Amino acid sequence: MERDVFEIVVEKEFIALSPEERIELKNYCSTEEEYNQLKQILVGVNTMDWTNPEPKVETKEKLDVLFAQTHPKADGMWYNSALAVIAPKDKPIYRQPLLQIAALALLVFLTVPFLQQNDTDDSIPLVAENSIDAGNEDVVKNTDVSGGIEEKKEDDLADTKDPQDEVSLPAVMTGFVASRGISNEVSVSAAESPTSNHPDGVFISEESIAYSLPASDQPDDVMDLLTTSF
Amino acid sequence: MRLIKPQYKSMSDEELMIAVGKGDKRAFDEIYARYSGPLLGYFIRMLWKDREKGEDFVHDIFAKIIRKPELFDPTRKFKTWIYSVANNMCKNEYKKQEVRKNTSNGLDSHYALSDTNANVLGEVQDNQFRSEFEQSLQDLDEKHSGVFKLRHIDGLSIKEIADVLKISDGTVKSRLFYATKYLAASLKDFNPVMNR
Repeated sequence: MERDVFEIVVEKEFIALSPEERIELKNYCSTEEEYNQLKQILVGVNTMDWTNPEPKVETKEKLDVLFAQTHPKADGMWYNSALAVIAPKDKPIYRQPLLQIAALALLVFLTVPFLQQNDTDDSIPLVAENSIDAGNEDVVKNTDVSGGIEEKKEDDLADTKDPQDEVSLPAVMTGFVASRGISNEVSVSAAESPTSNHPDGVFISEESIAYSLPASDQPDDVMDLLTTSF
Repeated sequence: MRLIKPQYKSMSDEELMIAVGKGDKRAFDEIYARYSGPLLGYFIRMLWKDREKGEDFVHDIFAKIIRKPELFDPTRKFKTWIYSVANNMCKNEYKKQEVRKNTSNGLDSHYALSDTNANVLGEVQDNQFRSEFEQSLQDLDEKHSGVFKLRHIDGLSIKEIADVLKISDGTVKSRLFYATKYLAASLKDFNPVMNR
């Protein structure tokens, strides 16, 4: 902290003053004699004991009464203290615990349903989607048949419940078979085909066509049907 | 309800005043402990060494703090604010006394009181100097003596005095030097520095 001019007067002799200090003091005391007179008074004042007196006890007591009247204490209800903790008035609203808890609860409320929805989407088998895509009641029957096969297989092979054992036809194949009106035979023969490696029991490989019909029973226009897609 | 108790001793005056505004009794007690003594000394010095009046003024100034703590602007320094309030109270008292003096029979009780003090003091050289000094200070006009007391007795800096009295730093310095020169001339027969 910068010393003021009076501290300089108390601490320094006239001859010890720097040029800057002399310039500052020039307006107030020009000679050494005046300087020493000022110094004498200031040193005298500083050496005097200026201990402050203590006010009377009655003064404080009166003020305590006045304070109690002016600021009566709040009721001792539990919610006063609870509110003081969760919604203190001296904090900005975004720092109040009440608002923070509410914001967290809202976040959880909005997030959790989305997470659960994702879980249910994964459990829907791909077969059902394929069956609906075909848009034909017969196709649904076929898939029902495959479902029946599943049930039959479950009955027969109750001890080996492997989801990979489920047999179903690819969408293109079921559509084709349905159009030809040879549903059950084909499906049964399909059931004798090798098991699928897909977790949903779906055949994606083109090899499934080879197992569905013997080459002799293959319709003439089957190549036309297949080549239209190229 | 607070989990951590506030440390009133380490709190600033301004923080304490904010707490007083919310009805914190302990904060008020701390403010009172810090300023009641210095303010009582200030009032006694400014009001013709009248202790009873000083006590009344201390009560009044703290009653103002209790009733209207919002009068204090927390952006200001509390020390300068409280001294400016005290200074205004003294000015009002001077005006009252001036009216009474003009309507009284010409006797001034304050001069009688200070004369009594001057008679009590006197045998020890320091006490002589002190009594003469106090008498000279009292003879000095209020605006110069007030600045001198604030600087050298109450310990306020030049800037704080300027804030209290709402005058410039240069005016404070000028008044201080005038007062010091006046006292030096009045007490030229005493030389406390040489006597030590």
